[in-house]
Amino acid sequence: MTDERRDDETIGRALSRAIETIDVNQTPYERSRIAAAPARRSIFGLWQIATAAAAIVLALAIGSWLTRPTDGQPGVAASPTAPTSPIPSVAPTASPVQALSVPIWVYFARDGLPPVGASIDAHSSSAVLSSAEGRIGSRISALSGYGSGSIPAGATNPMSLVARPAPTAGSSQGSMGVSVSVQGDVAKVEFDLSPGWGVRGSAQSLALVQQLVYTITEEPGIRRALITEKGKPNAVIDQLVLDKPLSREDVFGYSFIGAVGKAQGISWGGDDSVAHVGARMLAAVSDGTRAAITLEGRGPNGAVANLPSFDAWLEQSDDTTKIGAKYTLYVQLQWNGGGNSNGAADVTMFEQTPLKAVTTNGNNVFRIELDDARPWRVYMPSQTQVVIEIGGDPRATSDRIAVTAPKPGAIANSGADLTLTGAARVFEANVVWRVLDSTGKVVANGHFNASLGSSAMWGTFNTRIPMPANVRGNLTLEVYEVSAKDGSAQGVVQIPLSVR
Amino acid sequence: MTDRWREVYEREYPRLVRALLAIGRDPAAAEDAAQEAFVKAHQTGLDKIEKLPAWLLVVGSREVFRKAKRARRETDLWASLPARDDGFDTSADRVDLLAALGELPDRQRAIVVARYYYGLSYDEIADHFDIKSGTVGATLHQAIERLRQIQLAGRLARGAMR
Repeated sequence: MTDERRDDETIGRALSRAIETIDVNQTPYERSRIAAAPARRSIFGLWQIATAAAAIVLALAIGSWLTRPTDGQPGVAASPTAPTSPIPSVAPTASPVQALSVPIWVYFARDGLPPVGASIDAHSSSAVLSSAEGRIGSRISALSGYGSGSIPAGATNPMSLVARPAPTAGSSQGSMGVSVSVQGDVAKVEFDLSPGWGVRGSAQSLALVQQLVYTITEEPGIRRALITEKGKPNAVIDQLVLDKPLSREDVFGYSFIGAVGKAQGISWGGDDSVAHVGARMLAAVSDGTRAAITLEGRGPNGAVANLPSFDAWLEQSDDTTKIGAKYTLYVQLQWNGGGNSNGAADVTMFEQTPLKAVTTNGNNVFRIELDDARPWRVYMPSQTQVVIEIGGDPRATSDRIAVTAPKPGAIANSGADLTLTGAARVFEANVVWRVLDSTGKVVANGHFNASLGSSAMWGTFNTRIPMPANVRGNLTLEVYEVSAKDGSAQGVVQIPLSVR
Repeated sequence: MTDRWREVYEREYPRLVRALLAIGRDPAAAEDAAQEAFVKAHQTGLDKIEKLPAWLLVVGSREVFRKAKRARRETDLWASLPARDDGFDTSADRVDLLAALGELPDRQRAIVVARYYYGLSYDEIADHFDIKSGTVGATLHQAIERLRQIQLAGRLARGAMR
């Protein structure tokens, strides 16, 4: 190949990677026009064309929010010579004994969001599954053979792109192409992949690393994953160099980690005038990225009561216990008037990333069991209720601002008001916003007050901001705090909007 | 049959939309064209199409050009495209390249995407896009050369503004 040709190839590859990182919406098959078409061959046809058209409008609205960047991209996308379909996860020559099909918890990647967990079937033997190493290997093998069939909405399975080497005579089931060793809380996972990783571009590589780190550390007692290539101390995935053990918090995509430790927690001086007030769980929502638990004060007679003083804090937890959470967010209410709080122990399983479960003594102690230490916050809609909110879209979440609406990629109308909701913990409750056009020019700005400021407790906001008239296209909404010290923008969140 | 279509759709759709967006620069048109391409493939029948990915790309890009002619509207998509900071790549280069791609003539855009994003061979490109196989290489080289110049100009301009 001439230098010129090689140079062209380099630019071509860079361009391919650039295209691969374009955020697009994956209109689900059900809403595609072929699913709606009066099919010649299929008996499908329940969906109306109008639905498909609406889906396209919606697709633009959702923009980068619900994208599936890498899904189902076989080798051809990257290069015509890339290896093709992976080999099934059970070695064909495997011994006939005890090939089990067991549900196993793994993670799938999402563009712009932290990974999401799901249960899939692993095919392995009880001998393999009896060790931590075997279970980790089985999880990776299961993902590798899983393709991109039935996976959580909006998620991808980058592991399905990684080609496996052909099985050799001596290879054990469940750990094909991967050798795992555990030391302390680190699992070292060595990949034997002569054809390379099979992923291209930063979006796919990052997705693969996220998926692997979350899946490997799903093993109880394991907090970090060291991913290497056979015969090398590190792994190089496209342009990404992995040379140290990574925790979930290293890869989850938030710009900071949720405060850990009781001293970093939130203490609230509530209404302690009434004896024997506890709380009950009023609501729990979890959408795979953000979880919110609402607790409501309850007096001894069961009536709604003002909440007493309470503490909320996050701690690493021992995940070798039955629930298997990596972190626990404690909410402990003051128990006034002596005696034992005496509630009935209760556990509610959620199994929805990041919310695994909520356990409680049924009265004044709640343990929110979590998959990772993503940012969290506490706010009080009223004197009787407290909301513990965990996570959120990383683009809309900073250490002091968490915007729940609009979602990144939402559509807004030029000249109309936009509803802005969320929570903030800023000086004197003063929240500042501005809208930038695609060149970075400020086209609108303003400020408003959150319900609470200068406090450990977060304040909330639900306000309307005017979108400028005559400005359309891809704009960015920034919400932040202005530093009282030097006027600089602090804790900025940037929410891309499509303004029409 | 439905399952086969589902599989094909789920495998090919994201890539097709991305390619058409790179070619046509209009997200609405790209989605629309991709859906149309699938409808046409569906009408034609899976067993009658030899190389489905390339087929979809050709039909889809034709659709994009048709729509673009009908309504030449500018979007400022490129200036703001991957504003997302994923921390592992400098987005400036990506934006530059995509913007530069947008400056190329219609046909060159489609061929560049077919070659480098879809990984089609020269012969496949000649076949599907109905051009002489001898001119594919030259066209590609010309296009890449243009890309390089535009990208460089963009970088210089940005540097000058700082």
